[in-house]
Amino acid sequence: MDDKYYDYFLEFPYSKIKTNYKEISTKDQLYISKSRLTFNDKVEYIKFIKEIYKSIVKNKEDFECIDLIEFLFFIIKNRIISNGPSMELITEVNGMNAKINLNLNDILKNIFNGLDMSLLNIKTDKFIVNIGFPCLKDFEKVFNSKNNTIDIINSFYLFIKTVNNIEFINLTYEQREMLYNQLPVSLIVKIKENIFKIFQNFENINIFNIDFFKNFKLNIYSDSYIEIIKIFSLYDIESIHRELYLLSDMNSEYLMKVSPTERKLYLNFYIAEQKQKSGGGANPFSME
Amino acid sequence: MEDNILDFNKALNELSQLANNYSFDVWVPSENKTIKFNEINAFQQKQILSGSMDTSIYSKKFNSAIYDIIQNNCSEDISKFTILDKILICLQLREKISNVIKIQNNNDKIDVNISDVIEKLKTSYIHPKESELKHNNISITIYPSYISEEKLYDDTVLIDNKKAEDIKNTDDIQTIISDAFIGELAKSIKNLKIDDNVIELTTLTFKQRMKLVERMPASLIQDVLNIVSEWKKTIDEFLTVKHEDQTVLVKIDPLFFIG
Repeated sequence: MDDKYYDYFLEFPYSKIKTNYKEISTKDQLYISKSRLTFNDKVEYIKFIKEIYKSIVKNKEDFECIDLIEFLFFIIKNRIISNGPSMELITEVNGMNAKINLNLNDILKNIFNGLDMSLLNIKTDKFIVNIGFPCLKDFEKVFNSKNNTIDIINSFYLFIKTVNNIEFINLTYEQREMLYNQLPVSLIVKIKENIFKIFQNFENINIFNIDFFKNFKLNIYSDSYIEIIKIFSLYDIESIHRELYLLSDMNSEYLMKVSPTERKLYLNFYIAEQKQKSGGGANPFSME
Repeated sequence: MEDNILDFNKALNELSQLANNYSFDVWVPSENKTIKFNEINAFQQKQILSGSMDTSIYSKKFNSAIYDIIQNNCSEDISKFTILDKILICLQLREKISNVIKIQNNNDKIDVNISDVIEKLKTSYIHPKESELKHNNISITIYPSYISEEKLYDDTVLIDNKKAEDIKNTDDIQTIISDAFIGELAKSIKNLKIDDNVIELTTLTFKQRMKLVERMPASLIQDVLNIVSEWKKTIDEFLTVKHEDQTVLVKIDPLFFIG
């Protein structure tokens, strides 16, 4: 909970960036859940939540260089450690409310296993090209590409991580595009083929592994990427406020800094205390 | 920032050098030999494709992009490469993108294997030689125009860059066709001999050449036209591909370079 300490460690699977990080705070949780409702513009939305997640990692500079899929991994992973590995959605199916239980660890595995990692490396006799999804810092460039083939293909230089020993990701867009344009066309053809195969890989992933979501496809160029992030940013705001109300005897500043898991722990203490006080009778504020 | 620029320039240089080593053999029919060419790069492919947006009726942008590519990517002197060589060079450069192209024919898309077309050309196509044509005391030598001449013609004659929307009436169409016709002949005629006086047309400006062509006897012009048409017909036969019951012509235009 202390601002100085980042007590979890993570190595991102594609970029291999390592960082310590911590759980989101109650305050972050409220902002994350509210922002999914308040931002209509997807660029502004990602900008906002990126800043929240960046604030909880130690290696802030490198965090900008994780790719967009790794950012999604991080959001899910952070939800697991901050709020637990399961998530319950309530939706209407055939006019009736139905509960959908999501196992976040399984979802992480589904996304990770859906990508054929061999597509990320291209070797020819003179070139070794490492590709991957565009970096988090490039998200505006990606989201501002119109969802048409020409615009998407013109943004493919954003997928290049390295060519031989040349690092692309720390260069300006203009520089990256100029370097990309130097590549022989037969290599470009291979790069495009692999990128399209990666898209196809993601199209084929049943991320949630449940029928209800089977048509939900992960595509960074469509709104589905944002929608998936919004699903994992979904928290019941009313419940959070109810918990805060119940715990109002505690220092509110402290309470806003604790993680959702810690808050739930305090709440359980409170409920147990109330039960004891009322001689084991039903608690009017029970969350169960 | 300065470090970034230094690193970038180093990287650019490194990639350019590597790309320059990405060469392959291209058969040039007028020379009847293979010559090393670098593959086109992504920038050059974009330059070609931007030709598809050219609303000029002369395809100047596309011709210019192809000329620049041949000049930059060829390891030898290109001044004697002809417009027929250009077709073969384009086919072989395109083959590096992929050896199959999809051609729209009526409502069907037909896959054409351009490696087969190239192979057929390599084994059977013979580049035309110079021909001499005579009419009374006038004789001329004709040869497929050089791409360097074509470039010069585009840059000096087609400077007004006429667009389709500039054609207002049948007179405009007639002028454009007749200028193009005279221009094509002027590109193919190398020299003109009247009695014992030889005029090398290549030493004249295109406007001067076109003036001379306009004054040539009609029967001579017809003979030139027949030969130029024969050159085109011969190469088109190689570029014509049969697919089941359909026949399609492989056209070398900007869209031909889409992978």
